[in-house]
Amino acid sequence: MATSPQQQQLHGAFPGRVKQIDQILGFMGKPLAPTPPSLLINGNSSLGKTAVIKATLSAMLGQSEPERRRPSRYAFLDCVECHTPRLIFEHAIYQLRNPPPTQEKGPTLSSIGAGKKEAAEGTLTGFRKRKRVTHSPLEWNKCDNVNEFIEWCRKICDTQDDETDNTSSSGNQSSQSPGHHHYQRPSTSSKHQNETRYLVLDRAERLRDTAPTLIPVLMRLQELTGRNICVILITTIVWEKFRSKTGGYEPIVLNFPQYTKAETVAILRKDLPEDEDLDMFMRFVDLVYDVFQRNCKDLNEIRHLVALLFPLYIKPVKEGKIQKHEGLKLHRHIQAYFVEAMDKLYLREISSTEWSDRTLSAASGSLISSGHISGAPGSDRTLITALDVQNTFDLPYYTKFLLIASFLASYNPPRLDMRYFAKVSNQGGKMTKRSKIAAAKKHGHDNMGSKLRQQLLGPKPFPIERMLAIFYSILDEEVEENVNVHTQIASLVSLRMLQRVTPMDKLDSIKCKCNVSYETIKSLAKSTKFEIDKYLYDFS
Amino acid sequence: MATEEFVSMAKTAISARLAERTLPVALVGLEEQYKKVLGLMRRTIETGESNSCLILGPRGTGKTMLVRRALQDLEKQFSIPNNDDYDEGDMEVDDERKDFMVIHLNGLVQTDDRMALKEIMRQLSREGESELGESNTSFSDSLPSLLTFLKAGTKAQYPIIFILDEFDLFAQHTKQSLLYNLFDVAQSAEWPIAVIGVTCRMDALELLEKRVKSRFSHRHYYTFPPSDYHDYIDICKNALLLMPADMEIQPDDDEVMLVGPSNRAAQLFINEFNERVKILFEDGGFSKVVQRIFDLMKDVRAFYRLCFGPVAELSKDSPYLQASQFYESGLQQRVDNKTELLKGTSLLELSLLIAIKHLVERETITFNFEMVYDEYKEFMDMAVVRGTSTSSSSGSLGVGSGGSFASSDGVSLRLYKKAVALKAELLRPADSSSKGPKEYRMMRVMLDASQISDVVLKHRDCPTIVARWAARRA
Repeated sequence: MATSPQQQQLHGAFPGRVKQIDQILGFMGKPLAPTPPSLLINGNSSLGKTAVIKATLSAMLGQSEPERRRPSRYAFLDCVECHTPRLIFEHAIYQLRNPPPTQEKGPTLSSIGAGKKEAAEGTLTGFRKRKRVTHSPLEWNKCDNVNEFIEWCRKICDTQDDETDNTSSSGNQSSQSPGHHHYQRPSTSSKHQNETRYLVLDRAERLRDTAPTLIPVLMRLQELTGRNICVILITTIVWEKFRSKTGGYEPIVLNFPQYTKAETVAILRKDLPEDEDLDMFMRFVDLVYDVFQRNCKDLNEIRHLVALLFPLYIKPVKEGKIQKHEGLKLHRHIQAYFVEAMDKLYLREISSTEWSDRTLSAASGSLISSGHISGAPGSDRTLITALDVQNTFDLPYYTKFLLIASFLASYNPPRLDMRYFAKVSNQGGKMTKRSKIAAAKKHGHDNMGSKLRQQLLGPKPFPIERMLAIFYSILDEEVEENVNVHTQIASLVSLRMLQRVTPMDKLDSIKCKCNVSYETIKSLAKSTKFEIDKYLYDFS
Repeated sequence: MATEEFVSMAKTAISARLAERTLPVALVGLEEQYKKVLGLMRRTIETGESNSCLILGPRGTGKTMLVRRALQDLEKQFSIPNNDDYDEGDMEVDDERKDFMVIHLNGLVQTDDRMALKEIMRQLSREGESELGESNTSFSDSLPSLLTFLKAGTKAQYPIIFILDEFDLFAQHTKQSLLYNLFDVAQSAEWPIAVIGVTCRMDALELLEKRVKSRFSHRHYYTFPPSDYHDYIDICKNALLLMPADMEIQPDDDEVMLVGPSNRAAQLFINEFNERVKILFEDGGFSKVVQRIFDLMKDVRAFYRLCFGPVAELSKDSPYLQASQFYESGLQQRVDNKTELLKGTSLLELSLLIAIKHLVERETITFNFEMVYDEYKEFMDMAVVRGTSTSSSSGSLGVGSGGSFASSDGVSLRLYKKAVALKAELLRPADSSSKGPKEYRMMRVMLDASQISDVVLKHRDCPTIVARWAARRA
């Protein structure tokens, strides 16, 4: 097949997607040729599914001459945005009856695999823009059900380009009542098959929540309307999950595979910041990919990391501390940041701007103060993360013990309470390490592979009374009378550290669950000098 | 000889057949049913006899095709200008007299009786019976007016053929009033109508209420998938072979081209093309692909889906279908998509999946994140211990440069959550109303253990130590 200029441009814009683009173009064929009724584009997130489809459609069906603004040949909908059938129908009709927005070509081609949110925003803003920019936009048409939608589809497909002008003027009367619209006489023009219209539904997995019959209808829209319409679904979910009970027409599935390393690097190459050295950038990209690919193959994440970390990487070069070619030194310099970036950035514990602000300022601060660059960057910086907040979260003294007691109550089996917490016992109180192990052997580690330990199963509800008994047992001194323990419990519940499992209207025999992680409890215990490990059964 | 025009015409014709826009050239194994359905409709039109029948059969066995074909033949017979390859019945027809009307309804589209009624009125009024009031908007208004319209008729009136696609869905409408009234009119023989229901539910008759059932004629015809491989091959071949008609009445081509000598050239091209298709069907690998589809589902559409790709690839340089194209698209449509999706996961996600697999093999069917992570940690400890004794494997496993493989559980948790929420819905909550921290929510995995081991084998950069761990039995 001879490659057209558009095709070559698309190939250039999407490295590693040449085969998929060719396949899609093959299915599309000529504007008048029949297409498969439905396609399903399937692949993991951030593999360029949306971007490729969008760019392909706008490149092939976009308008060559700006002065003749004919109605768009495709509608692009996001099923998150259009979450009811009605919204889907009305947006589709609107987009197919109006000329496509002109400014759309730029962003789709330049930002390959741009984040989904960006894309969604893009359509939104593009949509608003279109509303304002178009000279005589057709009014918004109401469409409540499938029946009317099919009617509209036929009408849209039968509209010839040269008649759009008078449709837009006479559209006001005719569009009010799609049911009674009179078709043009089948003159010579109807002998010409109408051009294919495309209906693209992004994040199609949401369609399943809208209406049970919607997916079968869309799958055979071509048959139902008898017109040349191709429905393209884009999703991360396999087709099996879409099937309805009685089945229906099956789409052609097109899989977008994961990018290989070479492809990823080729895509990242397009992100080269202005007036930077390509060689160095590529070396850095290579490094980032090697480091992070085991944990994360998401292209967007890698792009994000590259954009954030690259300034740090070239900083010493800019300041003249390290020469460009000294790869090893640069590597050592950036390595410390990598570990931190993985822990902090991927989890989004702090926002990226915050992170880069702090890191850059801290790095420069340490440079000024110490005067050398090889020092570990993590040592003197104070990054407060969500986890840190949790660990330094301070509670009143008794409340801490209440929380510890409820943790113990949640994770220890009640039958061992006697051993752990009874103050007057035969062998002088608390369990020794040895008897603990013996008990563990006796009860816990059976052949279930120790996967049913309470530690792994999560907190168990306990009666408040049991927790209070433990509380009084683990406190060495007497509790002062005026401490209202129950108020403390209530405040812990409202802080969501305890979770009440019995309904609110049940006042006696309240049961709770401890909602706090082991790490937090450990740090709490440390702050009160309480040896929690001695009291925990079967923990590691 | 194979010019650009010829190839594109062939492409258009074949893909229209594959997309079921045009009817197949010949019926295979459905002649009996076709004769009966055609006879039934013809009697309605010729003698004004009212009829009702049901066509039942699994999906993709040609029920709708049968009806469409019958209508097409009737239109030819009763000299109605056929203005479209697939006449929906609602196309504009000139004021010329016609002998019958067709009303198409689809259970997927007309989701309640009111909508169906509106659609009937619309299609009737389009066909020229505009005396039907358009002002009637409510169901209670329009039903009587439609009924009086139908009942007032005489034998001299136009016969109407009702086609009810997805008949079973109409039976789910409240009180089945549409079906009741249609069958009632058909039975009381006031207006010549034929009601033809098409459904893939074999028990569709049981869905009808007693009063509806008693008015139905209990005629039903069954369509079955081709029972024998040769029939199947014939259907497939018919879709791919070119007909002389394919090259001449192409809408997007100027008719001038095909007169005189070029007609002969077209015929030559057709012969050559068909010859190649026949060779294709004798190809060993190709018939293996087709045989496999036949053995698995006997679905003609599965073969059609396979053909779209190769047909789309036809071009001036390779104007004929080649067997090798079908191998590839056969593979592509057959792959397990879940495995395909998982092939693109990162190593950490893969390890979590392997941990899940081990848990499931130990009959821990429901699990939570902590269990999975514990299993994973156990493996990591083991790997590190072994890594110190044999240094090479730790190198492959451990740390490329800075990034740790044994990453914090935060990262794993996020990936695990992703697996729950987004990733192809691989995990499903075991109990519906679980609150509390996400780490402890019990889950089930939606994959088979063999699928996971399959992924491990196919995964691109999976170190041997992980692969060995995956292969180990619990």
